[in-house]
Amino acid sequence: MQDVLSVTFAALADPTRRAILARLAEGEATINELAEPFALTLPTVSRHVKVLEEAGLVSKRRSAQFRACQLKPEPLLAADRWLADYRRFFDERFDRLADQLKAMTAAAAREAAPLPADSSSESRED
Amino acid sequence: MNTTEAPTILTLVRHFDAPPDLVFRAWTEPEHLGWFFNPGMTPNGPPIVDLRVGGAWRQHMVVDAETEYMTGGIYREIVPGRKLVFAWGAVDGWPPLDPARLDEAPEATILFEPDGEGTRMTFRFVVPAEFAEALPRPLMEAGWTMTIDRLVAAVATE
Repeated sequence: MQDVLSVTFAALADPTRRAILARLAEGEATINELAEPFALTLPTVSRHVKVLEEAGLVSKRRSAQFRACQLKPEPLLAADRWLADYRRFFDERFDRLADQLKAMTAAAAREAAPLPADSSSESRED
Repeated sequence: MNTTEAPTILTLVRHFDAPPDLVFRAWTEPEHLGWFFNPGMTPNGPPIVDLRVGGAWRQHMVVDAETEYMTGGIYREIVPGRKLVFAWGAVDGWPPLDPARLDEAPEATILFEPDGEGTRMTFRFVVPAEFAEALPRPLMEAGWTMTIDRLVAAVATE
């Protein structure tokens, strides 16, 4: 079974490929157009596009004049859901950490400043 | 696997109204670590913490009569009150950790910085691409979407 998310994250790990995706998010573009903002040769850009194609993030559309690259967002959305799940996973933990710190701070305050009254005297009202 | 291909996946920043030393203690002292574990599951006693590089913190989790597992982490860098780095998982546990191949494991880096009277905590979670699908996916309701720009920005934080 193909590990889709791994392929997606590996494709996204390269900053040039992320820049290419960001460009394609604005609309389709040819390899020439994609190469323009970079100091890269066309074969290098083609190679990056091929990685993105293999990850299912880009498709090529053939028309009479040119071959345009298009963004295919589905794998990105799957990766995005995975990220969102993890963000929530840790956010929930850190909410509990905040509560834990409140309890620790309160306990430290009780220790640092014991009640002035004799603690062995009869119980106080809560 | 080429570890230079591992993306930084998630960075979370939080402010806490407690000094860095206290936040660090909440991460590293067994009696204060309960917050890390799922409230729906029963930790079987407090976690074991061996706070040294190469040492582990381990927690035996009991989900129900048939399901139990070991989780925690192996420390990779410790700067008391300032920084903590650990590979996430446990030997013979979940996620499975091989102490000889920690570079390939999911890694958490936590920075604790003074922020007024409190602490600015930066949590960075890096998962090698090959691990991405092996990790848990808490159930997520349908319809959650995010723009591609935001995703690319999130993945591009490194």
